[in-house]
Amino acid sequence: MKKIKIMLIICMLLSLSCTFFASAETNKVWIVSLHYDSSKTADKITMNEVVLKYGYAPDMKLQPENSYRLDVLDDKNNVIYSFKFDIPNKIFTDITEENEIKGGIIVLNQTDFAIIVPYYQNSLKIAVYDEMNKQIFSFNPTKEQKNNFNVWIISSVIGFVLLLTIIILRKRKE
Amino acid sequence: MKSKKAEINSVIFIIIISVLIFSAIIFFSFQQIKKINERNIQIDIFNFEKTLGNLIKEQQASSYGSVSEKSLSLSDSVDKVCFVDRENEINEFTNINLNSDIQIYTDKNIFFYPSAVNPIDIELFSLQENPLCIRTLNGKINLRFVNTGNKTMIEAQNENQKAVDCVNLNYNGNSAEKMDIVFLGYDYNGNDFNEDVNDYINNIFLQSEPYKSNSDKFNFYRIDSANLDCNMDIGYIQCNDFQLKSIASNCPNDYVFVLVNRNKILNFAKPIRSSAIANTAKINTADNKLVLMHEFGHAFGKLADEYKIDYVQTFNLNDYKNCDYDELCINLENNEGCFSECSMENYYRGTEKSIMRNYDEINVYGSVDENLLKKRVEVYP
Repeated sequence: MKKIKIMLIICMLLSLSCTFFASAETNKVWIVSLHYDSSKTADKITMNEVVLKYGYAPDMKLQPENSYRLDVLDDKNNVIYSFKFDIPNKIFTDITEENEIKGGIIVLNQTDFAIIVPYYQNSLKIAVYDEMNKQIFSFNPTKEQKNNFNVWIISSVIGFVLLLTIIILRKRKE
Repeated sequence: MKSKKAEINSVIFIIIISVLIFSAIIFFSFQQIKKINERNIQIDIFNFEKTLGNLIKEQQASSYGSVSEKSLSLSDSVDKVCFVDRENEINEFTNINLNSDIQIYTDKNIFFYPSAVNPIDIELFSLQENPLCIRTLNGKINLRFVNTGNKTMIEAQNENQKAVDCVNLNYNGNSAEKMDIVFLGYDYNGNDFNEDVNDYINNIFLQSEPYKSNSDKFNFYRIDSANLDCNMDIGYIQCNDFQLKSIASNCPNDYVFVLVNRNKILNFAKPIRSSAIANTAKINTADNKLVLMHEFGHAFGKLADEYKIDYVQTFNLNDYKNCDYDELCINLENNEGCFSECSMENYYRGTEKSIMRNYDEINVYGSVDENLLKKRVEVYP
């Protein structure tokens, strides 16, 4: 019985410490992390995560012609901001060797990359389109933003329930 | 059978009750801890405000030009303090969070980060750097007070204690209009990064055409506290792009240079390639400094290598305007001739020597590339 009490106290303290370290963020630009996989026939780009932070987004004065496109839309589906981008899967590598330049182009079949998108207060959706203007996916950046607080709360409650179940079942067996 | 069912029910009941009690405990404990914490921080800030006000007045009463150094205690939860002189021009790049706080708290001039506490207002101080953000060290902030006549000037005791998100190096106008180039460092210690960045900007970048004659179209920035996650085990420099973009976004960032500090001897033993991908160029500082211009030619100019490259899966000539399939180079503008090898053996380039061909041999892009780059530079007003 004493052991059970100690375990319960440890469990509660652990959970409390988890919640203590939880925090939230405020914002000005979205940092959108994407994954590219050329081997897939559909959904070549998928979203990894989104973070909101104070910061600057590139002005995108020079954009590729026929390429992927990202739109920021408001609640009435009006495009507030849009830009075209290439998948950054070509790496130019160079080095000097005996007064000559050597190198090449590495083409990545899979890569994680990030895009900086300006934040708008009335933005509801971010949509990504392929070269054929077909929408690949869209998401609500506010909902997709990672919330550490909720993750910690949920995981600590689940952890507590699991431990409690094990303890009770063990006690019953005895 | 019935008793077993009752036993299971009682277990479920205990679990549900426990979860509810536990959740309530978590919620209320968290709220209470937060309240206690906030109250303690506010007490610390109140003491800080009082002490700082007294020190400013004390310095004011001393003789002109006199200097004193003091350490002020602050809550551990405060990482940096930003002082703002609202009567003078404020550098918008010093602290990215401060810009909006200055507009929200219009009557305050000292801000604390992370912003869990309200800013305060203290009179009669001036700043040489405006705003001045200083990091706390073990719950203390080290300040220098200088009597400047009608006001007390506040300075950091040590340059390293200054907390600057984005250092503005060469500002030619609104970042929304100009081309903004930001430098990040990897594997740097001390002041070397600052020196390298200045060298690359002033002695390399702004000495090369078409950038030299369009120098007013560029803004340059530096981020000192970039703790990048990069690796070089694969023969070239690869960094976590999500982290890199998050850090680079502290400054306006149309193009990003990552300077990788490499020792020449170490680099001779284990050579690492510089690289360009999208709007980012990663530079091995042990290589010829002109490699920065070569990589920028890829990143900004969308130029192909003009030497015969060792490896590529597919090379689409339509992606590059500095190479031609025609042996007379009829599709190139401003060419000085037509020379074989332009990334591929069977393609042609319009200048014999160029930065894109061999930056170890010549320091100009050549007429074809310069013309192509100029067209892109002219997009910026």
